[in-house]
Amino acid sequence: MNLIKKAIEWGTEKSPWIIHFNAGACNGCDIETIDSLTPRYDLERVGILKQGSPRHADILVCTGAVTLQTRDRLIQIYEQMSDPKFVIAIGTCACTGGIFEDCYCVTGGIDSVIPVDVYVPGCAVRPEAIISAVDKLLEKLKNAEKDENQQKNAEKIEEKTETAKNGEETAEQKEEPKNDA
Amino acid sequence: MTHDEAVVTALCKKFPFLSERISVQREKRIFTKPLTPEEFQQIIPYVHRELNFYRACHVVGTDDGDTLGLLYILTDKNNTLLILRESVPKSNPVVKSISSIYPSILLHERELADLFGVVVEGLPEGPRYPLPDGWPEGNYPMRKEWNPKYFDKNTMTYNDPNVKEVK
Repeated sequence: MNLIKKAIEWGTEKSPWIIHFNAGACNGCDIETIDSLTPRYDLERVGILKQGSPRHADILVCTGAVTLQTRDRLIQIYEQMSDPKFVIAIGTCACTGGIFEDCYCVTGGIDSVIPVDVYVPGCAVRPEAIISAVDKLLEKLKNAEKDENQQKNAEKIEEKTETAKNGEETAEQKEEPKNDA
Repeated sequence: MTHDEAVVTALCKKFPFLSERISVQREKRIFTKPLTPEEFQQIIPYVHRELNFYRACHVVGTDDGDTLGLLYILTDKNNTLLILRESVPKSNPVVKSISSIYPSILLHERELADLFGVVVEGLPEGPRYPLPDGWPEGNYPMRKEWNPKYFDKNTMTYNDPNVKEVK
């Protein structure tokens, strides 16, 4: 199992596959997203592929403020993705709701519905910013794994110390009633 | 005589009630004062067939207090915009569909029905547009008395405290 997990982590780091979802954008950010994948900026050369199905994707790339009509669909797509999954919010509208905040049919940014890992502000976002966001997300991934290992080690150490402390405490507690008696 | 003036004189000749209610605001922009639905229905076929305003670009809805205003924007081959303004009372906003003459206007009429609560007669049945599924009946978000503050987006209910006090 450990080997499979390592293989998955290696795969997501080296070649994260993305799915693009328009939650109610004006299409400006969608064009820039496609632009960053196509030959001029060419994110595909480093292994980032656009997928048609959320079941094959690791990263959900969202554009636009979340409207009431797309809210349930966005949650569905997020739930269909397999773990580990990450979300990038592209554009000002996706980050905060932008000019559509408090509109009668808009719930706000992407983070009003699903958790977001990386925010990319801009109207419309430049392809360079998207590439930078992907880079940061991958760094975050690597660091997260390191942190996880560190956390696990720290937890193990804590558990050991706690059990040791508990042992002492129980020993003390056991002693106390004897004194009372 | 320019093209704009020719259009205005032709319209005034055919429909005497338009004589002081139509004007050229600037080059290629012809506006009318608010018309009743009956007058509007008389003008539309004539404008389409005789004056060659073959394309309807847009319909703009406005909330003018007691009345709802509709601006139909038509163009011809000279890119002249003829803006026909229609006005209906808010208590009984009934309008006839012109989608049999201008098919492109169908979506705009659906928008009017959804956002302003205008009853468009002759509109074919179909899905609602553009409001989301489960939107409560009788809520028209583009009307001035509708306040997005009182709309709960999670439960899709509208609770206006001011209206309750009156009742």
